[in-house]
Amino acid sequence: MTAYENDVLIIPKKYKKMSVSELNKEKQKLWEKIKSSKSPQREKGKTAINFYF
Amino acid sequence: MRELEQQRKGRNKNTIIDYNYISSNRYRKKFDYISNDKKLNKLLYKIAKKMLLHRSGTEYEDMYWIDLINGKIVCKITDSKYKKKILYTTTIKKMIKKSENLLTIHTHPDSFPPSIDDINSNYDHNYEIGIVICHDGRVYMYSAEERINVNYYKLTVEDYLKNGYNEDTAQMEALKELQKKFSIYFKEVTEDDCV
Repeated sequence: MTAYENDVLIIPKKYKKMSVSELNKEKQKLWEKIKSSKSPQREKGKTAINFYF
Repeated sequence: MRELEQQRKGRNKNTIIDYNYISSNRYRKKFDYISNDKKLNKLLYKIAKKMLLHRSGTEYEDMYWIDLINGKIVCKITDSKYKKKILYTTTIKKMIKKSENLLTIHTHPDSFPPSIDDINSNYDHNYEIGIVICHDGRVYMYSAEERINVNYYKLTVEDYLKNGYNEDTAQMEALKELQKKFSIYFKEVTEDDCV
């Protein structure tokens, strides 16, 4: 569990070196993995307050 | 003249707030478009203004936690010594564990949209909602019902960067794209929002 909130975005060098098509391939590969191991969903909206998304 | 004075004091001119805008009715009105709870919206505006005035011209962030049941401030960090990040103290961690239905509100000196750490922290700590107050006057709200893979986010941002977007818009577009694939909610609160 995170005990910090770091707002500095550091993109790994290997992604920086990739071309757009390589990035998309890598994204697709990772997405296939993510789909099969998604984190359990948490229910929100338990208060009476309505947030305008 | 005022800017020169602040630079002399070692202030970062890129993070100096526009005091006139922050004090304007236009800025205050944005907070009406956050929720249907007028009292909460008013409190959020008050905290936002306080944080911006406190951190203007610096790269440090302030953060507050609000209990949505009683509308009270549960804890805050206003003395962070780390640039562009918030580190939870032991007291904060204890407080968060005890509380449910929390809203977080924190500043972004570089005025970028919610970071991947902001989104995942919202999920990890089961915060109801998060608000980002940017030094340039922008306001963002977000909520995450699932965790985002950090590498997937970085690949998405890099994809936008390679397609000519700047760092700010690349992050915005990445969040919009992720919103279609993951159960996360994110938007910029604007003066044009219709309720």
